[in-house]
Formats: sequence, structure tokens, C-alpha cells
Amino acid sequence: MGDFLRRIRLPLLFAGLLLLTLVLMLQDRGSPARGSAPVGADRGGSSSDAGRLDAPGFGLPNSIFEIAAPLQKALASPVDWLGETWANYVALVDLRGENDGLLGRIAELEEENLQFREALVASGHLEGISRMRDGFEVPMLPAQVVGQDVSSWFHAILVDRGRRAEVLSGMPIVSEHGLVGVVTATSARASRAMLLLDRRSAADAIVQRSRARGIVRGTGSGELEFVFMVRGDDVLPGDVVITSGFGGVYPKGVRIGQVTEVNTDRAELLHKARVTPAVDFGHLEQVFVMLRRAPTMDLLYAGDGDLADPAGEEEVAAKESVAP
Amino acid sequence: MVLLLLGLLALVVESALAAWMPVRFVPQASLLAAVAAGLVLGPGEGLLVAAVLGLGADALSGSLLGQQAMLRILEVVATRGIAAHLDLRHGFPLIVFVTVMTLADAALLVLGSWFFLGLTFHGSEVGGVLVRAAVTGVCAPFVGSLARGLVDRLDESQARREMRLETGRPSL
Repeated sequence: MGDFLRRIRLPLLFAGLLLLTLVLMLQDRGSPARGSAPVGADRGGSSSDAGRLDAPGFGLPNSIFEIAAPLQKALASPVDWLGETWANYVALVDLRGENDGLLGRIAELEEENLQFREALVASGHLEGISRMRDGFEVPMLPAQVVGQDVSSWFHAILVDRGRRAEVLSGMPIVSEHGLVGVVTATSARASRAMLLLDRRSAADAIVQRSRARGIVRGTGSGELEFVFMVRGDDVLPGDVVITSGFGGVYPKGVRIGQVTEVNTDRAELLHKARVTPAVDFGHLEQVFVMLRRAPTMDLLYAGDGDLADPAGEEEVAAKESVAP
Repeated sequence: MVLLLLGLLALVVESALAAWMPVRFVPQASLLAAVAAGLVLGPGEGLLVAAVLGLGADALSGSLLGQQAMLRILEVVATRGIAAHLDLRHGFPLIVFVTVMTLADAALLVLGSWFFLGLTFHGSEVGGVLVRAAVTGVCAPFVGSLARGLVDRLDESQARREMRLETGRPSL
């Protein structure tokens, strides 16, 4: 018997490990946050990548994820230092002339800006705009990109802020240029975010000029696809595409990119446009996590690691108890 | 254990490298470590090391948890199978083997993503995969000799320890 067990030990280990990986895959695929392949509206956060490492039972990957972030940060430091040295000293040799030109341009723009402000104040719009800004204002947490997806097929980044900094899965990530993606997994001190470029990513969007509405999808390459439905919609190359705010995952007005090519084949119901992202995903260093999660995201991620705001729940419970 | 730790460290370095250079130029560390494990470790150890390395790769990537772990396990088995018939200790055969293995790994990852997640991939990405396979293949002899040297050194120190124990025993 002992001899038999010794003989089948290896095939047993092989089969056991394969079975374990298969179970992990099925569990990961079927986790509540994954859902089915999203269609139509804002599916940015309802990605199939969502909430994986928040889920209990994945101790080892979670630990790797947690340990990797500070190590990667340490590895990135010398590279950043070299880059900064180059940018601040070596590459600045012929900048004096350009600087003079830019100072002149700033003066012109300030003058122009002043005139616009005057016009807005005069029409009473400035107060309205200020109110609108207050409504949209979301606290933003700066985070450093410390790692990139190690597979060629998916697009994700690792940032150095996690649950301790109140980062939760489903929170949008932006840079100073525009929309970057959405947080899909968090550990105590690090988070992973799925980039807008990923095939599973999408955001409800509008064209800033014509207000034509559609969905911006990741294509897996360096570009995005804007799918719009109404045939009469006015979308032209050069148009700026911004988030629409529908679905609540991303706040309205975040820049996504610029239309470079429009394909309006009459035979097709859905028209498509190619969009160049506003963000240079190849050189992401600093990003901002918007510390606000849409209610739909709360529902999606509740019970999957990072729970909905307990204060909010208490408030709801208090209201329910007061109600007749 | 040392090989596992080195493999995990290589994975972290790989992810950091991918943040500031195109992924196609970054060698696939976990695959290299899995091949090295298949070449220098025993079959049981090799399988376990490969599984953990694969889970690590899954943690740092957008793939399904377990997807790359399964591939690493299969790669260890393939390495052992091929090494039984071909001498993979030398540079060229190992480069060819790892290049082919990287391509097969990419194909299986795409197949798995299509099967489990319904994702399709564009033909335009094949170029990048070919470059990455070549880069990974070129790194293979270095990783192989590093792993072999490491295991030899560990074996040597183990033998020396045992010898010291032997000499410490009272003579009859």
C-alpha cells in the first residue's frame, strides 16, 4: 500500500494542483463582483477583474500583492531619480528661449482669461458654475504607480495606496490629463487598478461639443473605441470625449480622449469612432484616486472585501427606525 | 525555497520594469523560473514552486486567479518531459525551448481568457508576443545556469554540513 502511494504521489500532486488552480479560476470568475460581460451602460467598475483580491481566502496572492508594492516602489526610485536628473538638468539646456516665449503667451492668456471671467460674471453664470463644482468636488488621494501588469494581454497598474488610505475597489482613478481607470483590488497598503485600455473596461461618455452619447471601450491596444448608437449623432475627428456621469461610476466631465477617426457604416446599427486617450498610459507615474464610490459600486463590492460605508448604513438604519 | 524566493523577487522586478518600459521587452520572469525549477528541482518541488510562482503572477496581473498558476504547472511538466529527451543544459536548445514555451503560454492564456471570460484578442498583438518570447528565450541560459549554480552550491554546503556531523561522531 505504502509503495503504491509512493508511486502515485507525483501524479496525485500534479492532479491536485491542477484541480486547485481550476477551482480558483472558477471561484474567481464566479465572484459576485465579476458579473457577466457588461453591455451598454457604464460598466467601468463592473469589470470581471473586480474585487478578486478583496475576497477572503486568497491569502497568498494577497500577501504577494502587499509585499510587491513597497519593493517595486524601492526599485522605481533610482529610475525616477535618473529621469528627474535628466529632465531637470540635462534636457533644460536650450530652454531659456522657449521660456521667454511661454511667459509672453501666459500674459496673453491671462488677459484673455480675465475677459472671459468678466463676461461670465456679467451674465451671472460664474455663481452657477461654482455651485456645480462644489457638487462634483471629490476628495482626491495622490498615489504613485509602482508596477504594471506582468502579462501582455491585460492592462492593470499597481499603486502604493490601499485600504489604510481609504481606497476601495470601484473608486475611479484619474491623472491630471484625464481618466485612467478604476480600482479593482485592494490590500492594506496597495491597490490594483484596471486601466481604461483593458478590454473589460468601459465608460459611459459624451462628445463635449455635440453631446452625442455612447460608450468608450478599451480595445487592449493603445487606443479606445467610442461606440454611439444614434445615427444622426454628430461625432467628428478632433472632438473631445468626456465621461457622461451616467451610471455614477465616474463623475461627469472627466476627459477621456480625442476622436481621431469616425466609422459611420450605414449598414451597421452601432457607429464607432477611434479615440486616442488623453492619458499617456505608457508613462503613468502619479495618479489620483477619487475617494468616492458610486452606490452601484457599493452594491457590487459589498461583502466582497471592502464593504460599503458603515456610517452610511447606520444613517439608513436610523432613518428606517424613525419611519412609521 | 531559495529558488522560489528568487522567482518571486524576479516577478516583482518584472512588474516594476514593465512600469517604465514596454512589456514586450520585459522577459517573462515566472515562466523562466518555472522552467528553471523543472530543470534543477525534483518533480514534487518543481510543481509546488511553479504553482506558487503562477499565483504570484496572477496577483500582479489582470488574469484570472489560478490561470497562470495552471500554466506554470504545465510548463514544469513539459520542461521535465522535454529534458528527458533533449539536453537543455546548453544555450541554444534552451533558448529555442523557452521561446516556443513562451509562445505556447501566450496562446493558452488567450484561450483561457476566451473560455472563462469571453475575451477576444487582436492579431495586432502577435508582434509584441513574438518579441517577448525572443527576449525571454535569450534570458533562459543565464537563468538556467544561475539556478543550477545555486542548487549546486546549496547541495555542496549541505554535504559539507553532513560531513561535519560525520566527523563530530565519536569513533567506535
